[in-house]
Amino acid sequence: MTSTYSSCGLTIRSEIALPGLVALQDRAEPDLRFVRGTVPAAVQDATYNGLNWQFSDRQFRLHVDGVATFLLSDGRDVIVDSHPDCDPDAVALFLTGTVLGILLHQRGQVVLHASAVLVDGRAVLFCGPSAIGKSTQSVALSMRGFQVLCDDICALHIAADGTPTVSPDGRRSKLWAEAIAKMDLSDRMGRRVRHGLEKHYLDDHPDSAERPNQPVPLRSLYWLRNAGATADTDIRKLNVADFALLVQNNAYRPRLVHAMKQEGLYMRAAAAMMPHVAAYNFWRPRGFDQMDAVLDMLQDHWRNTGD
Amino acid sequence: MSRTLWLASYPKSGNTWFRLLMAKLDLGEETDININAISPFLRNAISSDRRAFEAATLLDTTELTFDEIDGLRPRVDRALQNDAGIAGYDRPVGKSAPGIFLRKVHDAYSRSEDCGEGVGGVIRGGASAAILMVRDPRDVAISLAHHNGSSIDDAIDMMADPDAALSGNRRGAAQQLRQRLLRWDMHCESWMRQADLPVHVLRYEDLLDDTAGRFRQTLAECGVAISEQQADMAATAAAFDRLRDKERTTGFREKPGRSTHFFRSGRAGEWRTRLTPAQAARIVDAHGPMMRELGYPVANEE
Repeated sequence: MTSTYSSCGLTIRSEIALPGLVALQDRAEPDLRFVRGTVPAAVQDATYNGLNWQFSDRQFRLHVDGVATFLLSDGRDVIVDSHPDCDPDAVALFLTGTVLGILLHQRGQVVLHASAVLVDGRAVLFCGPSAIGKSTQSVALSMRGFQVLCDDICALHIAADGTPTVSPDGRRSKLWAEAIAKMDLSDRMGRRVRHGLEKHYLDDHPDSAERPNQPVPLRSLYWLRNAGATADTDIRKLNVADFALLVQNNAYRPRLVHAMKQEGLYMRAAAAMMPHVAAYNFWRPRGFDQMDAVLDMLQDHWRNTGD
Repeated sequence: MSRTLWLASYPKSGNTWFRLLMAKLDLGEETDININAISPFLRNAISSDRRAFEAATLLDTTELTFDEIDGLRPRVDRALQNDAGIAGYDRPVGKSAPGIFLRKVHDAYSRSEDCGEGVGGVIRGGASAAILMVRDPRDVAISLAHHNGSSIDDAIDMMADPDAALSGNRRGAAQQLRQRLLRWDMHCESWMRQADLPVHVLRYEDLLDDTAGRFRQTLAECGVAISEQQADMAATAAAFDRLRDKERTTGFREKPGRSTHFFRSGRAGEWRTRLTPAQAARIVDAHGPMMRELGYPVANEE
């Protein structure tokens, strides 16, 4: 039994149910296929060997202890070899996260580790490392009427004239139990993302607009930073060098950009985007009690800059 | 290949101070210590950092369970050690070569019987030595309370809790990976009694008393030779007053949001004026034997 999904501008046909993505009725020819099968112990003629991963020109093998081994071929086909005692939700979680991200890297796409919301029809991205609060930031904005475009993968396309667009990642937002409680979202708390973690999918708000399914022009990028608990929120425009650093350091998997020798791709993308897109360091205090004040400042900033 | 030197300590026992001393050695005479610098002995030394783990495994640590992360960390640490020379995480200091790859760890030491590996991947990774920094637990309690933004009694409870951990929140994502501490005395014991890695115990109070001398001596015990001049230079640059002043000017990125200052007091024996007799007694009841073993006074004269 297969299902079809759309994520990051690609159509996925999957034998494995993917609760993290929104299913489609679409029967168009898929860009990506996820099937169950056996994965060999190693990739032939590997050109790069990481700790639990390796790749050759055409294949990428990723092993997750106790969950599954994945074989990605030609940026298109994934064979999923699940561990007999695996939690199926964990398999789905890694498929729609890390595996999808690696496929995008394999396809040579510029892909950032970022969440995104729509502001006046254009995408605003929040970049940063794990646990900085990207998803939480976007969900908080959605409660003020800004629709979530991406939970944590932003696939960019840069047109010939340098104008960038972002594809929706088609995923449900994922929030920790603490965030759900503090933000009063218990009525939208969905299933756990996997057994053993108190992180949940968030159900869409019943009144929320239809999710966008086309790429959206990019308006601005924010590099999320933690300020101290008593510090002020600070939004500071990045200079040229830091703009390039933002793009380089916030690739979905910077280690892969390095291993696949794609630094040039990201440098060129940054250079092409710069005339069209503003980027900022966004220092804000952690703490849910500060969230309203932080969002007020962000909205003021959007009104004042048009960025 | 670099030599890995593990700097182990229960929290608030001088780990950062020691790393700042190392950073000054790295920077040399001319360059001032920037407490927020991306020095290999500062940022990259933190073994509970999510990013290094994610770079090695390509996995999102906020989608792994604590147990899965614990199972992978020794292998990640070994991989990082192998890459240290390539990534520039190691540094030659003094007259020693090859470079030293300094790793900070707050985790208590343990060995997994399943995979036959210890914390830090030290068994198969062949790390050269560990320095265990210890501090009078009565002073640790005061410092821990400030760091956590909690009461001193809560800090004393934490130090007596065998399940205590840093970054152990299960309902949200902490900024670092979980570090299991055990009780304060068990933490000391775990590092001192293990036979997988030579360990050199350094008391915070002794380092305070003769910073240059103790710093140089401890490094010599680990096979790292530095000159007296280098030790003096490091000790002067990392003197507590200077670090506190720097923090006031520039902030310190390793300070948690809850506390007002990271470099707060830097003294020994503050407990005599800050703890009630009942609080001091609770600590001695819980940790007395280890305190005695480390030479901390526990008789009733206090």
